[in-house]
Amino acid sequence: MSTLSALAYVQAMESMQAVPLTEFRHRRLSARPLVIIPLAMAGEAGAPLAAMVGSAKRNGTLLVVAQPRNRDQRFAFAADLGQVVMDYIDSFRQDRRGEGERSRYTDAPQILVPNPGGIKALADLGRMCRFRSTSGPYAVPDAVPKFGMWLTFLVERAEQAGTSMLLPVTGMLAEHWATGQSTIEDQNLASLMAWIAPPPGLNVEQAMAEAENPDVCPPAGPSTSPEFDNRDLAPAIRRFDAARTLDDPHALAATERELRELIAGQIQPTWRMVWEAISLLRSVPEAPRTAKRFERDCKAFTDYSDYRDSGGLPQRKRDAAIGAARRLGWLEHALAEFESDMAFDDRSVLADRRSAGEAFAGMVVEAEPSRTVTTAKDRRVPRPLVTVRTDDPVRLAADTRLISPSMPAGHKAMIVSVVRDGDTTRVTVEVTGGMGRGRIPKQGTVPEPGQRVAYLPDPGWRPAPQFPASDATPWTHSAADEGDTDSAVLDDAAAEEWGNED
Amino acid sequence: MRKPVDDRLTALRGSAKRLDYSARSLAALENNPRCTLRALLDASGSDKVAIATHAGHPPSFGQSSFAITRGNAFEAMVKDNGCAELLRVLRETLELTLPEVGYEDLNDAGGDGRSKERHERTEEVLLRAARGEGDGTLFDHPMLRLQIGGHKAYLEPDLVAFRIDGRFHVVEIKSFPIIDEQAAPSQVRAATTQACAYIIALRDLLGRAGIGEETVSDTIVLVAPKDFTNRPTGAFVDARKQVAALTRQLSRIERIGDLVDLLPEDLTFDLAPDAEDRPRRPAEELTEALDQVLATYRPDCLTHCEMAFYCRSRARAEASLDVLGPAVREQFGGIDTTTMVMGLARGELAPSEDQVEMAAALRHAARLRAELEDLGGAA
Amino acid sequence: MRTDTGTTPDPAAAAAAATEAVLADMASGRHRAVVVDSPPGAGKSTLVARAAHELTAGGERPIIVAQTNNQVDDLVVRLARDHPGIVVGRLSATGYSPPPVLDALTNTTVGRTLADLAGCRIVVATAAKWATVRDATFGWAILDEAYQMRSDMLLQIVERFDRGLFVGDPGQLDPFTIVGTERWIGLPHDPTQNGVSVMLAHNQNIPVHRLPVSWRLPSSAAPTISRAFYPFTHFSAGTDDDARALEFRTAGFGRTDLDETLAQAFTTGWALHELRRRHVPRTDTETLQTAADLAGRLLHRGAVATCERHQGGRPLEPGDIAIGVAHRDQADLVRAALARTGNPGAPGVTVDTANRLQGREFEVVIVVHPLSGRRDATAFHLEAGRLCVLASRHRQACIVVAREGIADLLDSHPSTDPVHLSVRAKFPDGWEANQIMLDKLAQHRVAA
Repeated sequence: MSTLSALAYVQAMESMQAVPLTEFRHRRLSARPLVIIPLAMAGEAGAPLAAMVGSAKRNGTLLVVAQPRNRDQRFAFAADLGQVVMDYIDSFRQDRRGEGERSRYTDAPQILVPNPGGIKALADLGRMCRFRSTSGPYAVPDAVPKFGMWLTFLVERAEQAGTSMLLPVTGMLAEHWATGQSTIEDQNLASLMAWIAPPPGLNVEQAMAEAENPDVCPPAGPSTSPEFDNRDLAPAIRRFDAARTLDDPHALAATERELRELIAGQIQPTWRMVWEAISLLRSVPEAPRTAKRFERDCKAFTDYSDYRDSGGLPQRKRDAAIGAARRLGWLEHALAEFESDMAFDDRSVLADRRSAGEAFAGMVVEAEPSRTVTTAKDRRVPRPLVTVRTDDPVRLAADTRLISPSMPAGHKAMIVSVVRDGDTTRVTVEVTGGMGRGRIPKQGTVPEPGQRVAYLPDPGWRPAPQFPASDATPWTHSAADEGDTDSAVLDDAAAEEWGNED
Repeated sequence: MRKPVDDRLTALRGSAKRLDYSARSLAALENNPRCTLRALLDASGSDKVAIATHAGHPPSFGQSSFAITRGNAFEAMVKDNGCAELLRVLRETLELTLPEVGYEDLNDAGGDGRSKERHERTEEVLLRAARGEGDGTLFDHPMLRLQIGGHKAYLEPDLVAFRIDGRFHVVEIKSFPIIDEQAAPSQVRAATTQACAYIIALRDLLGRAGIGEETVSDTIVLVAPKDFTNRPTGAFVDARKQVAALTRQLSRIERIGDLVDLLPEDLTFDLAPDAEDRPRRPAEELTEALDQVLATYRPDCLTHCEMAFYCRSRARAEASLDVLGPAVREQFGGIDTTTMVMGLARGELAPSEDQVEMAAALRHAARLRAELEDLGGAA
Repeated sequence: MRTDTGTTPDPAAAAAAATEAVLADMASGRHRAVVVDSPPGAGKSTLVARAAHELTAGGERPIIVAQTNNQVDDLVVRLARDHPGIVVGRLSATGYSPPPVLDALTNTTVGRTLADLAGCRIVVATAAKWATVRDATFGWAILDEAYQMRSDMLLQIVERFDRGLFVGDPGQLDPFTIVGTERWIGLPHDPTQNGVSVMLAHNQNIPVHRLPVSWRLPSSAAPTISRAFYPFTHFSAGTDDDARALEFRTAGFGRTDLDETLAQAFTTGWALHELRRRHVPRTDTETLQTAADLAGRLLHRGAVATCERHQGGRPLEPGDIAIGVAHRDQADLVRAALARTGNPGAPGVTVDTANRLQGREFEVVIVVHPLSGRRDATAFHLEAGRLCVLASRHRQACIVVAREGIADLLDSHPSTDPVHLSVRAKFPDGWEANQIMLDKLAQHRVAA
């Protein structure tokens, strides 16, 4: 949080409407996202109640678990939902380009849920399903373990900054708009939308009040409101149970229909709201570097798809030592790159960095465009010097490598000196790349006096850290008696320790 | 002459029956020890739900019957048969060596289970055990008492205490799951708040009998469903810091007299009912009374305190930066309202001497934002 | 309540005994690793140099792992000076140029690969550089500032050595990550934890030694720092109450508030320069200017420091003074404020964040309290390690600049940290450490 972004929230609160935080949308929005609205039963993990799923507003499928505590029904639900989701995912495993190492699918799936709770619900579902066996005493339908593994893949990828295969809509909205409420209230999709696009006929205050009234705006899930549970859902489930006990097909059909209608009433408003949010997000221009990150999503999707095709194992319950270290490395790398991409693409984000001294923009006041330097290999290469005068509180040290959104692609520079002169600062940089191959820089590749230019740090490319082999965890990270825990994983997870049914 | 604190507190509460501290009010205390309004309402035993509702901002802390049913069923299952499953968890999962187990049920089986009597029986049994007499190992439905601000609060959560190697351990049985040895931190915290109050109460009890506080372990045992099954598993929670913090915050309550002294003599939150059992007092009068007490609203209050909606509406009415939360608010130093922030940023309001620096920073930031909006428009 | 004498009867003997115990464990051959917890100024570098000597004398070719380039340079210089008979190698990245002091030594070699350093008996490099080395293995590694090395970094270098001596200060700043994930919390191999903790979690039999004496901290500071930041592993000052002293060279005229604070610091070793209570952003000019002004005033009046190394007294130079802050932008603003004092020595005063002050030592340290002017404390600002670093850099005196209000802030601090299963609570607790420091500073309060 900087003073600049904090000011946006204050502005929103004072003007009673959302205020854009960024110039662009920094998440890819698929032409055909799959929306899933999961609802879970209160008081228990992995007890799905219902889900609405579909890749178009008019094509929502409602799946309901009439007896959420019944183990068979849970996995039947998982199989049904799994079928829809796997059909969707498989539709992206058609078009493949490139040869050998570089072969990948040209598109990747995108699943959108209302909020971070939705991602947690999918994570739980993934965990519940991926170790199950399709044969033996506790067999589940075929689609279930595969579905679980795909969900887990998507959830794990979602942890990585800048990815777009699984996203919460509240997060996407809040990245672009500042509201006049707190981040806690921003987790409520209806409250967030109240600020950005209040329903017709309501002003923002009225919309906010309705958003917090579960009888008017059913919660976006996965939790249902306690009032709904106690007043409507519990009796309806009881009636369904009674009809089942009586074994009366009429009553059964009727009570099941009633249950479905009840739940539809809870989910549909959220369904409509999510599609409205998607529409709003589509109207925000997409940041240029989103495409590059989308390429990575396609690669990750392709790699996992190939792994699945060759019968890969389900993901471990918890990371082992080396896997954990590796994952930390790529999470940190992804975050640094995403933050740099956002600042590079987006003037608002850049302004934020500038106000924190982590980037600068200003006017070129001096330049030595024809300066050259002899490298260690005895080559003469162009290394122009450029001095920028800026009002920004530059806090970057000499030798910091830089990139610039104001210059052609590939432009690179390095800070030579930062000299404060009263209220302004003069930053001298040496241009080190993007000038073409010759001794003389190509036209337009060196900033000229009078030109406005912006620079930010280059997150750089560092080789991936090298760890010991996964099966050779060193003594510092393994206890003497630690055997291979992977077999234990599969053993007890496939066997169902269900305990008492109530 | 000023009336003693207790009388003042009773006057604040009015005619209603005194409500004791509960798990929720303890959690609210942990979450916002600074808030005077909460402190006074809790210390006086006022009904925050009734007050907030009458003031026009009813809270929404309902509990789903599914959650309640599930919780009861799980607890019953764990404690069934002399706590057989619980013992299995303690032995297998937590590798505690419990030799013979002497099970003591401190629930009042026959009588009406009044707090005071059950508490006295609990005290007696636990003290005996602490002195090494009797074969008690597992103590079910114990009822302990905590002195909070001079009043006795009876604590009876869904837990058990067990004793091995001369020490008592507090066990919390909850029905949220432990998945792959992890559980939702906020839920764990809520569970341990109660257990910490328990540890403090138990230490207090034993301390009065001259028994040292190390007799009560500050490692809590949490028993909860394993992964997606119904079988229980267990985990340890190191509660040393939470116990220390709660102890400090409880002692803050002792100083409630200082707060009370600052209030107008005739202040009361009374909701004396009329013939139809509705509060006789007009809502505006109640809110006027509430407004005389400083509230320290933070968005976190929404998850902990029944007064949150009321306090938030007050903060909104005052255009207070509290509405936006501490992360935003701290960017503006000593400035309290959005009106002031925007006024200074636009150069429309003159800064006081203390605000000069902040005002300059705001104008600079506002200029940057305006620049961005212009560029955005032109693009 | 612990009774503190402030000094042990014979600190030198206690320290020597501890060192011998460490070396004995190393020589015994029974352990894969030996850990040494070293409080501030306890003679870590001396221990590292001594251990390196023992190893080379025993025929080993040890490697030394440090965390920053500055640390590596300091160690190379130390080792080369201590052992003129052997060649010390400095393994470096491209683009590294050795500082003059290192260049001047004849028995050092700088190289980019191990092959370049084949003739060196001891090779020193940063952990990051060692992580780029494949295949070579050594019998022993000495890892300096080991508690500041993250577990994933340890994993990248552990195959380079059979046995390790891990030396570091567990009370200073922990390594961290800005990635917000909870997926590894509770796992003994959590990659975001420091490497020493992870290693100890997996190897119960590794001996952990403590160096019992701080040679840096004066007797006025050691008891408080020990109690606040090392609650389970007490240490004491190596010097007596009368060993250290500061005196002014000139009398003070004109800035009585600053002079009063300096006088308090000179006489007792501590001072709290308390500004008026206000909520301000961390860039508040008055606060930062005051810190700079204190340094400027000190230089202007001139001071003479007496200690066991300079018993006749030595004039205090700009390089002997440091100003410690929590954030980089504060450091920049303090430097600008120093320039405004007009004092010619001002540019020589070190100004830096706690992160970058780790491992360094000064005569007088001025600290801008991390909680000053804040409405709420956050985990970052309460972190014990941060305050520990800031308050344990000095040999003579520590002056803290803060606005009134920190006591209230601590008093009303909510307790909302998430609670995790199977995780040992981390001590010292930031809140408690802050409270102990504040209580101590309150006794040395000068109201500005």
